[in-house]
Amino acid sequence: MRLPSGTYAQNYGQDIAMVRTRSHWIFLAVLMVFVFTIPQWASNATLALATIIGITIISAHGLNILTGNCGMVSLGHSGFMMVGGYTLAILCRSAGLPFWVALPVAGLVAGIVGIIFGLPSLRIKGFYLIMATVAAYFIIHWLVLQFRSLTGGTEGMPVPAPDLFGLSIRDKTIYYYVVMVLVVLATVVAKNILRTRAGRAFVAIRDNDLAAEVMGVNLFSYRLQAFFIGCVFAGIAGGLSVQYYSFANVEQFPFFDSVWLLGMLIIGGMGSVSGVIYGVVAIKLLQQLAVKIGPSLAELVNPQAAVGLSLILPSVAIILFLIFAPQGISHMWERFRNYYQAWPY
Amino acid sequence: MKRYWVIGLVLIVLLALPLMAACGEEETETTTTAAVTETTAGATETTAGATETTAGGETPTTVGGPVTLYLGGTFALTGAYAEDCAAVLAGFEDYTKWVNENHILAPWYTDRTIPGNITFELLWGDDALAPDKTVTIYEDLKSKGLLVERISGTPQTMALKDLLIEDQIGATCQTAAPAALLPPGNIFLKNPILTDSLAGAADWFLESWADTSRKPRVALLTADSALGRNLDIPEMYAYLEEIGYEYVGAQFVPQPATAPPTTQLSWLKENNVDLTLGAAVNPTTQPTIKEAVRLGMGPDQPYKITFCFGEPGHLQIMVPDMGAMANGTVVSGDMCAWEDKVDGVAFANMLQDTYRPNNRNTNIMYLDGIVEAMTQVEALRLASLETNPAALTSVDVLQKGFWQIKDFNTGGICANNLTYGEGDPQGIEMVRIQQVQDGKIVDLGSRPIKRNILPAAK
Amino acid sequence: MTFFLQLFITGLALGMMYALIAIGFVIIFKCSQAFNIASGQIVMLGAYLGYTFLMPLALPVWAAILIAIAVGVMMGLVIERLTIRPLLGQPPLPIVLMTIALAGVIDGVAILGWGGEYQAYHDRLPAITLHLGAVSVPPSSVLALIVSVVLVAILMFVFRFTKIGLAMRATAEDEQVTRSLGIRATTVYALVWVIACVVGIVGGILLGGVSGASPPLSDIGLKALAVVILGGLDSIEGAIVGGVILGILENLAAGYLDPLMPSGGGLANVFPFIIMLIVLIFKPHGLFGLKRIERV
Repeated sequence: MRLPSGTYAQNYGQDIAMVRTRSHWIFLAVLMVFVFTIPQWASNATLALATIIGITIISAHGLNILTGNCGMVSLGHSGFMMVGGYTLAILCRSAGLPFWVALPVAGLVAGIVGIIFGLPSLRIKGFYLIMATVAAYFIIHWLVLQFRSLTGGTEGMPVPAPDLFGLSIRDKTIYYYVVMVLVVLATVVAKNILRTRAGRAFVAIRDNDLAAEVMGVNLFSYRLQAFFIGCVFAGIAGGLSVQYYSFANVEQFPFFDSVWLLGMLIIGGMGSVSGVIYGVVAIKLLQQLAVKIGPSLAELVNPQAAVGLSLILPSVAIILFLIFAPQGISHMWERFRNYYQAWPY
Repeated sequence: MKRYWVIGLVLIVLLALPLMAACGEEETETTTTAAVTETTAGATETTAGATETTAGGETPTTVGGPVTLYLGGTFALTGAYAEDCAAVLAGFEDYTKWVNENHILAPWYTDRTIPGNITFELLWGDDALAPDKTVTIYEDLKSKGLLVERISGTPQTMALKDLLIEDQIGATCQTAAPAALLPPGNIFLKNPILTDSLAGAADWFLESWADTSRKPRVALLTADSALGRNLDIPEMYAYLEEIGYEYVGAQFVPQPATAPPTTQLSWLKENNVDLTLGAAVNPTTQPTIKEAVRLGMGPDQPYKITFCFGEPGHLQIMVPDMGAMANGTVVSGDMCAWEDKVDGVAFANMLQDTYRPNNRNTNIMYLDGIVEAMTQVEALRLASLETNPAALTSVDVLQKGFWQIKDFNTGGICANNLTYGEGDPQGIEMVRIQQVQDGKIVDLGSRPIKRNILPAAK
Repeated sequence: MTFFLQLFITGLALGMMYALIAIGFVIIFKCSQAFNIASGQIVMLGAYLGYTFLMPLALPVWAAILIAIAVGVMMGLVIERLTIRPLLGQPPLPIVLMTIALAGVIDGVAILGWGGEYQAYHDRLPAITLHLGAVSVPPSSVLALIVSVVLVAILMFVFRFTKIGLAMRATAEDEQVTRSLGIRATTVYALVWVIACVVGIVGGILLGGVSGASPPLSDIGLKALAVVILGGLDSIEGAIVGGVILGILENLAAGYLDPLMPSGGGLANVFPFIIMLIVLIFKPHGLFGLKRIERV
């Protein structure tokens, strides 16, 4: 981490601390206060948007570890979310498990499915791996539809309102807090995973897999670990999403969502934990903008303008970022910070 | 080490927040419920009183400040049902304009007037068939003051159903998903659910079945989508076997069909199927029928087979697109045809002449839009007879509006007058059977629907 | 047996369609090492263009095809100049991401332009019906077969006997060396995108004649990716053979395995991906692909 001049680490605790300076603490505190007071002042619609952004952030953290750090592009992330979502739905509904037990299990199951579809990464990488993950999405989608007695097929399945220590969390405000606490946890965990031995191995594999292997990084094992971790995040996000709508349906996890997740990483900055948050917020707000201005374009163009725009606006943003700022918002922010920290030099 | 304590403390505070909020919320919740119960009790009395006044033919007397009431909901303007939903939206738009100008419910309901101070405004969003978008739009519209809702498709129905019950909001819908009745909620149907609708078509086919030596063989030929798979339930097969069919199996056609569904059609031929039932929209059915004609399959073709699809308004797109090629295709649904001489169609034509003389919407779902908008306006109107329109809540609209809609004349657009009530959101009792004959849509009459083909509750 | 033959022939028809789309993909990959995920979207746009030219404008088929080709040329140039050229010299990954974003833009344009509604143009394309014994071949497949054969012949001719073809093959071999020899690699890149867009749009017009135009049509592009994996990323022959094999296998699977599935099939949608996964694990370079492709 780049620190302002004059800040020294005097012991190990300071050296590894994620939040170091006073301005860090102030930023964090302001952000937390903002995030956790949204239900107090925002409308229901804003709250719904914020909850969905939170769920997406958790999912994007997983993809960031897999794609941003380990360099394996996945277009099947939406499929792994589906696995998590349906696992939670089945456990809560058919097995009657409480939500807070089912959610980690959903993550685990998604992680294991991720390992299975990550197995080809033993032999292939790059574009071939992308195609394997595309296949993973469609195969999962098909399996969910086939095991109809378990999943409800295309009709989907309703999920009972969860209990959290005796309190019903059907209420959207409480659910928002639950999601946000998990977002904070997921962010801390994602940040820390990257600072472990595994995290460093991921980056080494991404930068040069041959060199990493020569240095003794077990490619196969670490690739599968990356798949596992990434998909656990996806599974938990999928579970949260299903619980939010109290309903599981395959159309909740469309193929294009994986594309948007990748786009979020590009806009936020591949490999950066804070970038994930910037990217998710940016794309979700762009889509929201399209939904807002769409109806006013309905007279001018056609009633479908909103959806057309909600595809075009984020896509154009991704294209612009790819061309002009391939390292994303987090890099732009860093440059700005370095500039003002060094100001007037 | 200190840092960890701080982070731990922050986490504990964060975890405590939801608990605190939960406690707070619970208290308010109980109070609101109590309040609602009281109002309901009060309302029942007033309803009784109001029925008398309405019977007396008295016009509403509430004249206050100007009030805007909203109608509308979510539309799937993108995806497989785009054209249908766009037409529904057009119907909503035109009807809203007309009501604001004329202040009566419909040309045939001159006694049901809307107070001059009430203006209706249309609120809508495109859910693009996605349940998550539907929920977001629903919350958004609700916060803008929409007291009613409308729903377009099966996944959206499932996503909103519990929310609607929780929020006590009544909804009209375009869907015919059996799920909407499982169990009956606040989604008020004016279409027979797909299973019932196709059961009606099966009844119709059986009537004309002359060959006594064998049972007619029936199969599902349906879209590989949520809509199409609505039919694929054991209860449906059981019903068909029960009324005297031999059930052969199901074939699914991709939606859209990227290749002619020769495989599925050959399978039907191999298995000597006489009738196929299916739920599908044009991107699936047009390539299917076209390929069937090429393979010599159809009621007028060498291989005798009848294709039946249960989607209202389907033929109105299919016939202009395909012409005589579509001959023999049967559709079971609820909507009348544009050619029918009924009040509803005359009204729709008048609306189109007035508001879109240059770009008329020829899709039959335009009529659906009018019926849905009319139902929403009627619910709002009935509720505002009881309560001050400025203070209306969705509960009022549901209980004093939707539940009180009885024998509601849609100008002949629906097969019978709609009657709703508490726990009875299915308003329709008949299903219309239509067939393409010589490139024209011919009404084969209506059949009573069987209100019992629902998937077993899981 | 008739059932089998019918499945086989329909599969062949479908396969020719896959092959057409796959050719567009392979050409781009061969010459610029770029993966074009948006090929399905180009096809979908082609179907909508076909509708516009044949129905509201009521042009004759040859005129429609000519204008469509012109549109394809324009589109190829615009796409290459605005999105691919700025990424020149970058690793393949950003280019893949770029084409994914491009897919979003084209989808959005189709929705803005045509409202995302289903549009059909039956009976506008010439119908050539062939009968092989008891089985009749769908006219669309005969058309697709003719168009693919003509296209491949033209492409082969260009590759083998023209100067630009030589430049394209050289660029495919080594871009740096090619540029140092004074060949404009950018022209080659522009040209391959033009070819890919033209092939995609013509394929789209053919496909639209079968299924009509609607946004979900672009999903066929993903299946075409399975075809190129099977056939080998850089082999035009592979694209054709792979397309045919996949089309037939998909159809046979749907015909024979669907009735055995617990919930009535839908196997046609997923079978190409299952095959693709198998190919990826056991023979990642495909049937005809060059083995130099980087592996772990």
